[in-house]
Amino acid sequence: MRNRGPLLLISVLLAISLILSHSPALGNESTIVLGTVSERGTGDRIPNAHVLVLVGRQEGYIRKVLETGANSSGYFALELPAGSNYSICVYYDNPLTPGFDYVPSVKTIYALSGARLNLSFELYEGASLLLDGEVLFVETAYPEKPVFAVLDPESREIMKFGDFTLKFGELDFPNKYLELDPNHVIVPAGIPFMIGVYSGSEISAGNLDVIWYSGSNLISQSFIIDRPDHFLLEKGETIHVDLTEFSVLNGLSTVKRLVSEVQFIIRERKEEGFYLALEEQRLSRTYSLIHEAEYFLNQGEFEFSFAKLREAYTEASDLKRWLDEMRIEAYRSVFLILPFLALTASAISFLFFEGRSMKVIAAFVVFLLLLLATYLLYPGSRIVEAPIYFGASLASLISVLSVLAVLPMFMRGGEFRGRVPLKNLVVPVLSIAKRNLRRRRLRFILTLISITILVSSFVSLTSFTTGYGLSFSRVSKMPGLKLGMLVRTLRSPVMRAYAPASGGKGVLWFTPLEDSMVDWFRARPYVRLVSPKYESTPRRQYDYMGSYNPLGYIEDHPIFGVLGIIPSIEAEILPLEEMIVEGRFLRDEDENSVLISKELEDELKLGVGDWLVLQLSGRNLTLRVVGVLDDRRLEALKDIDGSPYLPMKIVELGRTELEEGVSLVLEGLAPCSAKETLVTTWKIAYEIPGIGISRIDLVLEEGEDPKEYAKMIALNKGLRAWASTQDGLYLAQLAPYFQGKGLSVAIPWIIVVLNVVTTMLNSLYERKKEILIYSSIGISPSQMACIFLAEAGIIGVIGGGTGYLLGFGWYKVMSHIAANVQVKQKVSALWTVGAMAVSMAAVLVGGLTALKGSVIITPSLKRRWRIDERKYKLNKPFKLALPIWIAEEEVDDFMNFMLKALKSRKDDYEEHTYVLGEGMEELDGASVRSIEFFYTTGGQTSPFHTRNKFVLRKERGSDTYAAELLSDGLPEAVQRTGSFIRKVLLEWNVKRGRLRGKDDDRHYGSLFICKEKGFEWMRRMKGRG
Amino acid sequence: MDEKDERKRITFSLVDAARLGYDNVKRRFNRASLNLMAIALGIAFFSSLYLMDAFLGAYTQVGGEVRVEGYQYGLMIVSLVVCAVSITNSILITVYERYKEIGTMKCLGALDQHVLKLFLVESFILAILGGSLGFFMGLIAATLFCAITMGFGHLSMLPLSVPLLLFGKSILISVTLSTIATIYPAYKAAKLDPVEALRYEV
Repeated sequence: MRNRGPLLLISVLLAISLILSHSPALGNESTIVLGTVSERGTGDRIPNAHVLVLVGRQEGYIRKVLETGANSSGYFALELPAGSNYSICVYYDNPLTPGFDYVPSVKTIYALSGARLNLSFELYEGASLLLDGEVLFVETAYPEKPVFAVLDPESREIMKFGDFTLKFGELDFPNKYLELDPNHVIVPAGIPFMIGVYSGSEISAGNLDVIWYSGSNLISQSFIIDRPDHFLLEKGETIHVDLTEFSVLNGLSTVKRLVSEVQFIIRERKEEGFYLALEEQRLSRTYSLIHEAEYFLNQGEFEFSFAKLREAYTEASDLKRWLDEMRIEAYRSVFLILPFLALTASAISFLFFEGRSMKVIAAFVVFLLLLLATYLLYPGSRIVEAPIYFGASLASLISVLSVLAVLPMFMRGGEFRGRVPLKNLVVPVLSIAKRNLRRRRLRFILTLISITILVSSFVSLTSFTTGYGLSFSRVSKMPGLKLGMLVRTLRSPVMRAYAPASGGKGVLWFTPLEDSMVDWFRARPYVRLVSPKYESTPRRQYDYMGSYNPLGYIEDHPIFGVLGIIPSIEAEILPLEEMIVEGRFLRDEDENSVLISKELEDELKLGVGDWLVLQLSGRNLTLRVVGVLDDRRLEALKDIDGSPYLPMKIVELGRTELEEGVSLVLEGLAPCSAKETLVTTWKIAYEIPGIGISRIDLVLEEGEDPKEYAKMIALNKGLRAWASTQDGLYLAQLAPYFQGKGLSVAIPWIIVVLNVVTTMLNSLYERKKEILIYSSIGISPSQMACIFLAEAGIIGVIGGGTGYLLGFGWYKVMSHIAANVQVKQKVSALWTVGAMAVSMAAVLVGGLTALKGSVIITPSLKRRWRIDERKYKLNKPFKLALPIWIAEEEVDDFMNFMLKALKSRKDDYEEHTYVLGEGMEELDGASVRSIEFFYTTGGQTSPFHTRNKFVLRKERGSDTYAAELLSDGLPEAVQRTGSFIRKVLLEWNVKRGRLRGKDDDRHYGSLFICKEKGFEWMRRMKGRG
Repeated sequence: MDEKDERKRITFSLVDAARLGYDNVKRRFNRASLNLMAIALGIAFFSSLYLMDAFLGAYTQVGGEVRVEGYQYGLMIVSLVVCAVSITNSILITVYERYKEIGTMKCLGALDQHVLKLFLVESFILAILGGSLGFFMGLIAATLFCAITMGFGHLSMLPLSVPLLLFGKSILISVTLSTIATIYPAYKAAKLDPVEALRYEV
């Protein structure tokens, strides 16, 4: 076999050299492009056309790589590196004509190595359309930069010439590379067209009004600019179109569309039975706003017109949101209202009927009636499908009845540590309360009527609305230092990320205004002066875990704030120039000039004309001191909105040590002191990192109303705007709001409380005997109070339930008689809780006030008593039995209490006592404890004085002590002494009640409940357990 | 002498009724005060609302925008109704308390109309006092509200006849309300059988 190795090697080498010679990556080959530029239609060469070479595509990333021009004969040649896609754009504009003369032509090529391409560019005749003003969308105050597209009126598609899509705006291509203003649109001449405007708004932290309405992260808006017969321009012609006008026209149609949608929904909801007087009033307000917008539009005042549209849109969208929520809320609420009605029906039936079966039947009947009323009155019940509605109703009633039937079984239990458990008291207390209400049914019904009317008025005549919209309010009766306006961005969210030491709480930061806002305000014809304040963001002054962070230092002196101003304008608005104590004020043309405070000057030993070095992080600024400011006046200076003029710093308000070495710092904002602040020109401040425009002060032209402009700016630009006028300082902003109507419901509420107090007081009086009986069998004041509160509770539950339904009845009445009472219907079932709270609060406050005002609940101690004066004999003491029994184990406590009580009045002028001694003895088998004392009332010279012996005696076989008072003196004095001792015993009774609550181990007797023929009695039981 | 003539001989003058009524108010001062406060609050709400409306109406003529809204009138009506119920309740309680007294009066020859008169006069006294107090409370409230919202200067825009007329209306409403609310309990008291009344135990 022959050796083929050298031949194979040569072949491989030849192949490699061939591949290498054609590889663009490895070789230095390029593509030659030869082109001609001519006019479409005539074919005439266009001399000196511009040629742009771009990498990438118009629809995506694009970058300019080369710029050249065609020669006078319309030829050009390019040498492009091979291996890339290129877009070659050819355009020409005759400087002698006002507009662009040709529509640019773009061809996209792929540059192959060593290839030669011949391209022929035929340019269509073109013209220019300049869009003046700004693009505005009613949906947001923060639209993205718009894109303008030239559209074919027939197909409404974007026109495309070769590879060039006619899209303009703040884009690199074509506007930036062709050196066109963002609002310059090149359009084809002799062809009808219209303009499409596209924009979008991405939700960001500051874009609050977008967040409010939109559920997505991005909203997009567009509209068409057109004429009835479309735009048609001549070659080289330029026309101006007011973008603002078309924005407003677009906004008008958007708002009208939304408002008619809202109107349709309102009609639909009304048919469903909702009460919508407030919503209709809000809708009519949007209509009047639209009319105002149309008026301003006709007057050519587009900004005001747009402001009205924004307000109308905000109102209408908020309304739509509520109308949508309302139906869902009503649907859900049905399932909460039904158990509430079942409870009311059960309460009514249990109150008026006896016997289990009667109660159940009555509950069903009452519930049916309430259900029927709900169906007729509550709109949510008609939205729910009938089988579900009735199924849920039945389930509710059965559940409530079951609970009421089963619950008493668990309401019985043995005593616990000598006390009757609370649960044992529930059933008898309710039973007694029920009996009492039935006995006094006329008064009960009258009280119930007043409660029901009260609750129904709370439901139907009060209104609580939350929403989002323009808030305009006077924040101070005093105007700012200068009449005019001040604008800031909306409040920023709390900067938590930068507050590690504060436990992540952080402080409010300010979001800087965009620089373009300054130019925007300058372009407003109604504004005379525009003064931005460049201000450093707050820095931490306290030291914890390295948080101390001044803006910079001058030598070792920390600087926490820098202010940058336009000197001539700022001085016209605020009296800064008057605060100069040395040197001069800043001038607009100053470079590297700074104002410092007097204290800073003294500390740094600087003078006017001296240079200082502000050491910032990463760089130094050398500045010359041109003037010195008065510290106190600068610190006291307030801006137009009344806020401190000096920048803010973050200070420590408090610190809590969580564990050793770890603390939680509570941060707050405070103005920098004058010596921590430098005042310089805006140009210098602009160079310092972390500085932005915190506010812009505006002085309006003579005769302009700052309040109207403040509202307009708040709406159109989404800023907070303060208007300083003669009658005070006003703030306009878009913000969530809360509106409460009907707080005067407090007046009928108080009347009802007074009624309940009267009824309760009378009830107490009438039932004195009954209470005496209860008391004699050991019922304590608190347990007695429970009976009264249970009565109040029953009235409250029934009044709350029926009042809530009646409230819905009022809505019906109001809508039928077209009362136009503008309240928001309480569709949410949570209002049942509110209704119940109003009702219960009235009866409980009334009941408790009555109970507190009465001492009848402890009748054995406080009831009226008289001594028998006929028994009076000289030097023979009266013997008064005191109605109290003391258990063995509480004797010591009791005697100590008595001694303390008597001794405490030693220095009392009105009721003077003097303890003579204490005794303890066994007498005839009885244990006797005693205290001897003097008692004087009415002053030292008063005839009312007695010598007394308070005796506590326990007879043999008894386990309790009885009390008596041996009092020697005139009958009147003895009467007074007896009353005094009874008062002290009453105090002991109260104290004993507290002790019982505190210490379960103590045993003072207890109650047990025995059931006898359906009626429950409470009986005192001693010594059990 | 027939029964008719005999009836004519038993007299119970308005002055006597007023004196007795006044004594009763004094005797049950606490309850009367509560009743009085209820009337006063209702009338205060009424008068303050109408005065505010008048003030704001005058203010509107010079560019003011605030008006009293419809729901407030609704709440005012509710207040008056609740107030009436409260008066009925209170007088009813008084009737129960004074069963024996009424019985004794009737035993001594008092006619139904005398008992009726007694209660109505008592209610009239409360109505006059409550109405006057309520009007002045409302006047103060409305004046303060308007002074705060519009400034003291605008108060003088209201002619004096408006509050004077309103005072008359307040008294009228108070008396009417009180009388209507008292009719049923007073009638009940008047128709009381003296035997039953004397046997009644509280």
